Amino acid sequence: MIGLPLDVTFPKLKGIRWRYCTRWDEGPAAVLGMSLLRLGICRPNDWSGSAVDFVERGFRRFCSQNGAYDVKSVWVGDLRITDSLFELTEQERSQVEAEREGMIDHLYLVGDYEAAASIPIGATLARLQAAHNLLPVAFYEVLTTNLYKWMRVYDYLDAQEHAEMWMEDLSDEELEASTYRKVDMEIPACIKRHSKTLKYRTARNLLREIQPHTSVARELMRHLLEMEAHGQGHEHAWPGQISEKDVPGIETWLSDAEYYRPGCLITWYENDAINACFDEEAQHMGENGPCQPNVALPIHLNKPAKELDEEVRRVFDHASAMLRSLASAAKIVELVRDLYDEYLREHRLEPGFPAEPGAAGVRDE
Amino acid sequence: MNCIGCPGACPEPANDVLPSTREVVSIVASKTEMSIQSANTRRRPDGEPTKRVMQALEDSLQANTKASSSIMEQLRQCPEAFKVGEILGKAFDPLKYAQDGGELGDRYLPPAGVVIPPLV
Repeated sequence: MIGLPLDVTFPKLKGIRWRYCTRWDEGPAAVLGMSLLRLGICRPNDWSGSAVDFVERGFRRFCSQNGAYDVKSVWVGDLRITDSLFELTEQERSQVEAEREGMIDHLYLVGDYEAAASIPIGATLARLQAAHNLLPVAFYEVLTTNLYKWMRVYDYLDAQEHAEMWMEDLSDEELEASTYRKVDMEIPACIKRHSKTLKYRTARNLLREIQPHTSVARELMRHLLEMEAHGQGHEHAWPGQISEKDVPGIETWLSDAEYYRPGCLITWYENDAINACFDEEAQHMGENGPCQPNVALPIHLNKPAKELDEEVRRVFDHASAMLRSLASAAKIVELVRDLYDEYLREHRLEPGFPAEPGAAGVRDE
Repeated sequence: MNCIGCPGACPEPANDVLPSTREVVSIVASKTEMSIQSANTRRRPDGEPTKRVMQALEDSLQANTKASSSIMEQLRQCPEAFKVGEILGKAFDPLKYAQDGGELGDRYLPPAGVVIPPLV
């Protein structure tokens, strides 16, 4: 049995915005929007009747112009303009807004990662060593230093620290069977031998001078030097750098928060000892409070137009450098993963090697 | 700025070759300075939309400032309005819920602020 259609029509509303914002959002966005318009980051045709939409359109275009699409191929996270350093629930937000007197005078550019990107670098280091003995350590040093500008990097040094802490309480027998011991044992000789003596400047110069024979190694060098060039002059804008004078109450806020989550995990091979230590630490991240964001830059709205424009320009320059640098890093990570996949294929093809599907072959991105 | 004396020498970048923020800013700054210098002699196709949007942003900022104290402003201007509202509210109270014959708890009048969709 088919029923008769109901005599109901849905009105079509023309010229209505998809989203409306509260008056608390529109005010600060209007101040920022005027600055972005003066700086040419927003355009007149971005205007749809809402200051928040206006800023969002300009910011979206800015991000895509600076390589956000490439960055997203490896990193899951966001770069946003917000009035709060931490994510708030609807209830918390209503409470904050009810207690607020007048318009807020700060906005923040906040960058954070939802997951740590996996970078199994062992096979790449072995490939680079064929070109020059110092190339793996130089590559590692320049890559990690430049990633640190935009995120917390979890690598063998963090794993060593974690392992040392837990090994203190283990008996000799337990130590023998423990994964923690492997952290130190698995460090490739090329890294172990030179990592403490090779300075950043020397490492960078080496990368510029050495001409590897293979195209993949040359490509890695090229993207790394690009990454380094984009990030030059910038430092990690972690929230701890914001002073109490700059943003009153920030110290209390940060003391209640946990250390920020890593944006990438550099292992030698997937599921190695570094991976195991990371998994252990990751289980407890964010248990005692919200995690600080990886990047936080305040924008003070209560400034004369010229000074505000200077600050907005500086903040957006940082965002541009971050996106461009990470876009180059994303190309490096893709090459590193390709080399790792190649390593897996080669080793499974060896006669006598058990070709069973292991967890190491599955990459959870 | 280098561009003031040579309009056209620094063309807008193509969409696929994207300028850095610094470049975007310097391009815009050059244009602004050019337009200030030659305001009386050339038409500025981008000037009016920019002014209009700047004004709209200014208006939304003003509206925001006013809105944040609108209740206090109304109270200051006409404190009697609140008294009148209270009396009217009490007058309608008996009509809010069912009287004799109706089931307890049925509302006759919808709560304040409810939007009722028209039924055809």
